[in-house]
Amino acid sequence: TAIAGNTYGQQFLEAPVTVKFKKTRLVDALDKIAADKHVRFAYTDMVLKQSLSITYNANNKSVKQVLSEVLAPYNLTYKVIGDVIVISEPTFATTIPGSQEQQKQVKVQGKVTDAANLSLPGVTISVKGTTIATTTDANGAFSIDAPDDAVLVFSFIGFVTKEVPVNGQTAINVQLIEDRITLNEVVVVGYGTQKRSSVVGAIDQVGTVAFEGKPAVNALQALQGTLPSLIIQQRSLEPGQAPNVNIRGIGTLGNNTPLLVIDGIVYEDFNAVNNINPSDIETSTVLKDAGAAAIYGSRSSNGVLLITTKKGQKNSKATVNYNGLIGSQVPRITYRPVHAFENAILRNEANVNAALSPIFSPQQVRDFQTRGDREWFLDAILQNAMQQNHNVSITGGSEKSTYLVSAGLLDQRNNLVGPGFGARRYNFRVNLTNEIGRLKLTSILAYNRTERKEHSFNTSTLIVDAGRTPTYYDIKDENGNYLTNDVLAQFNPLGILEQGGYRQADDDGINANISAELKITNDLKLRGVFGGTLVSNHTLERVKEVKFLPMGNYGADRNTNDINYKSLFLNTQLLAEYNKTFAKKHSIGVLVGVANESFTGKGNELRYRLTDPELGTPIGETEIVPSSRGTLQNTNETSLNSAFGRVTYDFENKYYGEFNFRIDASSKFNKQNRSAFFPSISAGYRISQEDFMEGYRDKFGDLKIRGSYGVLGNQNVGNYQFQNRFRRFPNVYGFNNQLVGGVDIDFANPDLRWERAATLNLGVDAGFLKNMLTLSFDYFNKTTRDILVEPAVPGTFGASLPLYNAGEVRNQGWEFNANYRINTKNFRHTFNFNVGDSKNKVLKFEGDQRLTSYDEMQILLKVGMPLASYVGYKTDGYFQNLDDINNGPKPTGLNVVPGDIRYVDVNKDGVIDENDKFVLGNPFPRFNFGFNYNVSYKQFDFALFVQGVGKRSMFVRGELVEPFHFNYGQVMYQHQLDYWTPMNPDARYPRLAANGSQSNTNNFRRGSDMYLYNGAYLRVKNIQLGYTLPAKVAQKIGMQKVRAYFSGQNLFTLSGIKFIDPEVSEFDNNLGAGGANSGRNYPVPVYYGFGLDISL
Amino acid sequence: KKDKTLKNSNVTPVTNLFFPADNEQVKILNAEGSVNFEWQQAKSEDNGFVQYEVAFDKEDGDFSKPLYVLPSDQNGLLNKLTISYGTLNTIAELAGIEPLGKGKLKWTVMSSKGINVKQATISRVVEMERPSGLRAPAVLYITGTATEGGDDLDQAQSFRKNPDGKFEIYTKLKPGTYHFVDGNSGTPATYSVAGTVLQPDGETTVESEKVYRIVLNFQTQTAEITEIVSVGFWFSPNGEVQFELPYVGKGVWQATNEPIVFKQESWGRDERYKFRFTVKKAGGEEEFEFYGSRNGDNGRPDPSTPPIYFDVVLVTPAQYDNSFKFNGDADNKNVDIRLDFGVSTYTHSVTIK
Amino acid sequence: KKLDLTPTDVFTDANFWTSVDKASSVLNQAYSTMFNATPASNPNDNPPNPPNNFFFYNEALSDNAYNGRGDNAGAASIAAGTYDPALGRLRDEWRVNYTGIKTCHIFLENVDRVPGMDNTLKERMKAEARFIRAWHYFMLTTWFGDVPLFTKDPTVEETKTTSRTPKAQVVSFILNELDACAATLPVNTDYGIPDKGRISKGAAIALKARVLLYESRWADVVTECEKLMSGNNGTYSLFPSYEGLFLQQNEYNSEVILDLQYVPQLRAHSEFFDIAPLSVGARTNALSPTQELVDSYLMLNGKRINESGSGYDENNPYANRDPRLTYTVVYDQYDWKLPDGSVKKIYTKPGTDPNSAGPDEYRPGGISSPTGYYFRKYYDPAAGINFISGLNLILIRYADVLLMYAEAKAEMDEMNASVWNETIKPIRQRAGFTNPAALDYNASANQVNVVRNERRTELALEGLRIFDIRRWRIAEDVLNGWAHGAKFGPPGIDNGYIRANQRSFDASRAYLWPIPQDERALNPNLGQNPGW
Ligand SMILES: [Ca+2]
Ligand SMILES: [Ca+2]
Repeated sequence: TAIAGNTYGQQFLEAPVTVKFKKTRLVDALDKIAADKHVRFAYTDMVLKQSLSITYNANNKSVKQVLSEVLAPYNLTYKVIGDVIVISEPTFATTIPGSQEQQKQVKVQGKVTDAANLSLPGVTISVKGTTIATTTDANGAFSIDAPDDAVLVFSFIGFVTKEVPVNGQTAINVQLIEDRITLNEVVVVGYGTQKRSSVVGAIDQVGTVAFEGKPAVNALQALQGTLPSLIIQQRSLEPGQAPNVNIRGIGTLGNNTPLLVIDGIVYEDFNAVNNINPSDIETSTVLKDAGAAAIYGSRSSNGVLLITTKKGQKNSKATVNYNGLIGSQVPRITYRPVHAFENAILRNEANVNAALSPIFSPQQVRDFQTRGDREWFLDAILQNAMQQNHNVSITGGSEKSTYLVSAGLLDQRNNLVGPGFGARRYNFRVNLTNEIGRLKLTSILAYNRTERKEHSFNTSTLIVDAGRTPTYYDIKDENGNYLTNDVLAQFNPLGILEQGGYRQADDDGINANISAELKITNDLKLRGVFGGTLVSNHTLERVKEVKFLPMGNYGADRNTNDINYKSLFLNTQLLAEYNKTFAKKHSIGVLVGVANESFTGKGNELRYRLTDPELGTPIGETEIVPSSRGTLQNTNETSLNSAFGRVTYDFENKYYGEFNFRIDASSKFNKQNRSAFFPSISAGYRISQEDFMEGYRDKFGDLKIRGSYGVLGNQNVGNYQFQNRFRRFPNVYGFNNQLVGGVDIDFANPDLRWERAATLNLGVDAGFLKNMLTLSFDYFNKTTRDILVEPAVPGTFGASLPLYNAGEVRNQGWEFNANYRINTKNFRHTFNFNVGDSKNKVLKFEGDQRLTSYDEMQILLKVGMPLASYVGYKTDGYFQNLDDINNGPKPTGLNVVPGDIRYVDVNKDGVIDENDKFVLGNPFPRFNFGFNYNVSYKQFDFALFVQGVGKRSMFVRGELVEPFHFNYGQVMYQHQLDYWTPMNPDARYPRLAANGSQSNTNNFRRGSDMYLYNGAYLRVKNIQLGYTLPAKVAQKIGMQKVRAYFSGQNLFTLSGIKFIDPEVSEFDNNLGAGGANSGRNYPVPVYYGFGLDISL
Repeated sequence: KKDKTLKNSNVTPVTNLFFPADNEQVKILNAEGSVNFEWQQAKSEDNGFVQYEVAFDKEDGDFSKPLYVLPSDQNGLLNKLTISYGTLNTIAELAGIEPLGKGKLKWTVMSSKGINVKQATISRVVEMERPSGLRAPAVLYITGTATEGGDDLDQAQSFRKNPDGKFEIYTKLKPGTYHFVDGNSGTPATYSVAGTVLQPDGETTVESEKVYRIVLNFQTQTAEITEIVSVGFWFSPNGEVQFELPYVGKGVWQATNEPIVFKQESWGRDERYKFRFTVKKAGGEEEFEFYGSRNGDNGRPDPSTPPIYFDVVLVTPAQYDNSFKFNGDADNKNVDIRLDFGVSTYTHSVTIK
Repeated sequence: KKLDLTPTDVFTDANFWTSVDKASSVLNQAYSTMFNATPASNPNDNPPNPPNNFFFYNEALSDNAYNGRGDNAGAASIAAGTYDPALGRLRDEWRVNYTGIKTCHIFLENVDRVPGMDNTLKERMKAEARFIRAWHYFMLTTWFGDVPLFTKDPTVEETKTTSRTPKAQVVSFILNELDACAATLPVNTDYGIPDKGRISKGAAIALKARVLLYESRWADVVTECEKLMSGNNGTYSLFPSYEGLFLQQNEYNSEVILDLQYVPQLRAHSEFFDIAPLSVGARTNALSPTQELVDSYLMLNGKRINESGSGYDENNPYANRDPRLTYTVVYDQYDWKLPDGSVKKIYTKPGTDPNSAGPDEYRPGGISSPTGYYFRKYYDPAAGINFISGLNLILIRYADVLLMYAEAKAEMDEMNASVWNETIKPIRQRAGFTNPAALDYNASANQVNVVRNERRTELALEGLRIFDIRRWRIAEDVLNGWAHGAKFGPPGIDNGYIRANQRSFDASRAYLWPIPQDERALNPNLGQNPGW
């Protein structure tokens, strides 16, 4: 709240003024009007938004006239109090008719101040239940005549209204506290919106601040860490790769992906969120509990992410915004090879320890030392890459319509070298609203195109191959030939990248969404929504032959693959909404609707081999590869019919009740299991609104408790699984050298049905320090029943079985969110901290447990345990001497020597075998947290965003752990130098011993906690430092606003594991993993960029 | 970020030598055989392996620039070394011991992990007796009336010294006499061949004019004289000699204005080639030898291709392997091909007309 | 959109068992489970084959070969004796075989639903399926001993509680089944050309002979082999060329009793990519013959190399050897015939290749063969890029029948000149021996050892050696200590022969594989084999 200055109220209004504003911010315009006039304007940021702007000319008009004209478009009014002019929204008459009994009047005088004890001018003081009212003067002083038993109501926009009984007092000083901004915030909920103050579900929402200035290539990247409980993990940062997302952790053994709803339309594919231009997004909302999510019924048990896109504003002039960010992505590899000569010594050591000859003679070792290191292949295939985002939008509106037109370009080059590798995304959007009488029409049309080009091979293989090559080899000879060597006998990764062809995707998506809202009466509205998404994806793969020296080649098959996929998703909704307040106390809202969602996807894949080496076109010798697929082999259809509704009730903004339900019928299930009902109830109590809480409210702020309980569903299963399916294919066997076809049988589960998650949520929202600090805390307890489990089938059965409803998992957790704002003379600080945790436990599982091998380790699924725990041996130091060996427990069949790992012998039988295994840890990230700090000082602003995971056990394997892994790798990395020798008895790693030796088998072929690492981390995800030109300067160059900033991403990481990026996950969203994390991912780049925001 | 480096890579020096005993006499025989050297093991700081090298020096040397260094058995791992007579003879020769002469050498052991070399605290002397044998000169020339340079000493054609110490020359001999000299001025030492024996002094008589390859082994005092009957241009796609390269002198064969047409294959045009020598061994039987590229497979050269590409080495007879390729411009053109075995690194060049 | 959607690309129970063609595709599927040479990564597979490259890598379980890179089909760790019940190969072996059994059961239990199917054809196809089922049980019981025996498709619940059937009972089931198959199946020559490669009466008899052989039931072995040698149960003879026996142009020759079917490019194997010499296009070597295998080949005069008067020259070790050595193993200075007919010399001795890169030369810790040898048998000159080959892999051939017969006779002490002349002599003649000393019966020799060695060399790289050393109970002798490579090693150690791989074999338990850990977790009633 900006307040300053001196006297002269009314005179000022009559004073003539000459001004000229062109797309000037309204606040700046007012400043200009007030310049040198010894008056001040008072307003709150809520009323006079920084974003409002005007274009206006006045020549010698009175200030009064100017003000009316300037404020009119925004439906604002003003009031003069002393020499302060208070800008406010018009207050509607609150006259209560009827006669007033004459009562004893007292003159009450006093002063109104804010939390910082500054006087508040313009505060309305009224006698409750009457029309008697006054306002405070410039010094915050007031005087009013009121009955001695009256209640005075102090209200001021942006502050919490306060009621004070007179009780015969004549002097009443009042302190008003600022209202939590968020209480007036509009929160997006399923099929509608609610005011924050009336929200009783567990909902988190973040606005545009999540996206501003971050070099995020997609919306999810930017959202990481901004909302508690929205857990986003990037598996790979290669351009075009989507991250893992889940809400509140893992609650099911199956798919944990949340439901995505954009502008009210449900999306079939969650990853569609990444095709949206982040700068088009207005709000991102997470529905976490049953209360909020049940209206999405059968697909909501993993939570719902609601996105709304920006719209224009009514009665606003056209504004052009540009924002751009250009920077460089610097690949960060956190492991380094030892020097070439050291590597030679270490390989000798490993060989000698395995009773083999040294590989290198002493002279060869010295030659490597003299010659120095060659460029490491991994350095050779990585480069710094440019990334740029540019967005332009035009918004505006008239009295009856608004518009937003935007265009965006994202261009992210690839950190892997190669011709033109990278991804580009183009976004166009038109959002229109029109009011035609009682009809309100919203039309959204968005188009996105993604063009991605990458190498024709497999990134992790390229990375690992390059990384496992010691630095005594050259990658190219002086003639430019790509060289192979004793590690990479067949492929040279640089050759593949530069000349081995490409994989090129061009994906188009069109989203159209038309909704018509008809106001039947003031209370009753009908809404029809029709939305659809048309996706057309195409990938062209070309493999080109590259020959290497002295041997090896790549791509001799010269494959050309053409892959097409097209899908259409249609969502039709019909809704009726009724809202009414009775007796000023009882507010009731009812919403009912029906919807259908239909999906059809069709694809074909034409795969050729031996195509023309230059053009890739078919020639004489070309063959069609049998794995080509026609449309009939690749058609997917689903349909879902639904009815849903919500009833809300609130009493005096104090007590809230809500009931949500949905009935879904899905084509994925057998007829008798097809329909399901998902209800939820919620209640909230805003205690701070109670009269008896007034003291509390004044001192601290708001206090609300809320709770919800409901049942949610999950239907994330494949199609047609309720019937046995026989899939024929052409090449199972041959007779007489002629192919004969085979058949794959997918066994049915005719009883397949929904997963059902019963969710309890309890939450509290509380303000402190007069609402400058707000905290909210949620506890949840979700029990998912009928979990779709891949049954543990003995190999003896001879086949796997489809998912069936057999598991039960409880997922308990909490989230905590804190916001703190403090403004001092020059600084404006905001802090946000959020942290969430969830813990799951298997309550029921067919057969009680399932233990599956998983590289060296095993993964356990067991009743009473968290999902997916690591099982293996527990290390107990090393055998240090022969005495240890003679007396210590050893795996059967293995001879160990000093420096080999000793394992804990659980049953003390002297032998290490499967009876000695432990549950060693759990891979799921716990205590996900985010911290945002923003501060502005004059024209400067600074933002810091920190994100991380508080606890996690990570299974890392492969050449980054095991030196010379299986002889595939021939490099030792610097972090592995901490291996056992008599000088280093407490080493992290056992002694070196070449592959195939007994030591190597003991130490590395047995899964143990040696392979587990502490995956907790804290990462400075984003830093921004900006400068905004002073308005006057900006105007001189014809701009409304100009902000320039530096943005840095992933600048600094604190982590328990140093040699691979702790953020990169080996798991997919179902906690399934293709294998342990072997650090072969595309490196996480550090980003440095420069950005510009301009408004015209 | 600071690199982590390998620690504890120091070793102790060897403190005791076992065999041969100090001042032991070793007679190097002109036959297969070897002598064992053995010493006490050293220790490494990290209790890991130690590698050894045996160093030889002159009797008064201090091993700062040893004459010869060899890793111990099993690539330096064992505390013993078996040295063949051949190698010992080379060492003795390096020490300046004349054939049939005796001389003393000092030996010691270096212990290390490749780096951080420690010289043993002691060294021993061994007295070697060399077998008969000529001492190989640093350089060697052929001269005499039968040679391309005639009797004129400074026109004498030089031999190439092969990595194994043998001298090799491709040259034409005509009726007359020839001998070898270890310098092309003054009064150099001379050698000659009698049959397959390389001997000091003397001359050899030639009866007819032919191109030869002469390989002289001073260590075994033998000479291998092979007649080069012809040199053919081997066009790999057809698997045959397409034309011959006439001998032009001083180890050079050259073909002029020969038409080159690449062969059309299903996958493109093939122009691989190498050289086939028809040689006649001393026994009189004719054989083929193939000379081609060091690389099994090659790309087409272009003007920026470095000269090393054109090096010519003895290769497999397999039809396509180790072939060269022409610059793409050579297709359907005439070319000159020059094969130069008169230089220390055999090479060839192609000129497109 | 309506909610009753039907798939466009698959059949359901309602419309699958309606035609012979569809039913045959289930039988074809069963055939494909028998053994599989193709690694799962073959991009041409749709769907990918199970991870089963046992055919070639089983050789490295024995003393014939070494799996020097990776742990393909568990061969490295099993041969070295460093495995435990968690090893993936154990689980894979178990699952691959039971998957095949299930496919057979599904066929057998549903084929009667096919309307209007010719009865003779149906009975033949059922017999084929029963043979395949017997094959899988044979594999299972050979590796694991007692295994669960189902004669119809079990429910999941049954498989979670069933206990193992004693091996004797499993074997007796196999033998009865094979008798039934033999009674129904046509002889090899009665199959039409499009059916070449199907299981015949001869195959059922031959497999029965093998089962009996593994049980050391010598007299029964003789009976079964005689059924085939008489010519009454199919027409079989040795193919004239040992080299040609393994070439594509000679597939379906008179010696083949049962082979795995491959079709060029379309159903192909490509293990040779990891087996052949690098200079002819292979990559990092993963499977290489041992010196022990090389040493087992006779001299042309029929003597073992270490026998007096053998004429064996350690410095020229590959001269005057059994010609099958050259068709099985690639050694230093080997003349490798390229597909175009030209010859490429393979240099495996360090520092001898005129091509300075010397890709095939032995280098400790390198990517070339860790033994200095490569395999040659089953190299397919007609293979495509990266050795993608459609060459059939032989499971049982007539020479094996003769060898089984000879072994049984020798074990019964009934080996004599006439048995010899019916078995070993024609095999050696076909191999290219001409010296009477090698061809003629030598009564003074240890006949059992002679036949065993003949079996080793004749059948090398055909995946049988591991079964032989297990049933002969010599694994503890031949799989303990170092497996060696060529004489390129340090002279002071093992006479200069490369120490390639140190092995250990615990005779107290390793003759049976342990029940896979994952299987025991799902079915505690399986129990465990002794010592594990
Ligand atoms: Ca134990
Ligand atoms: Ca075939």
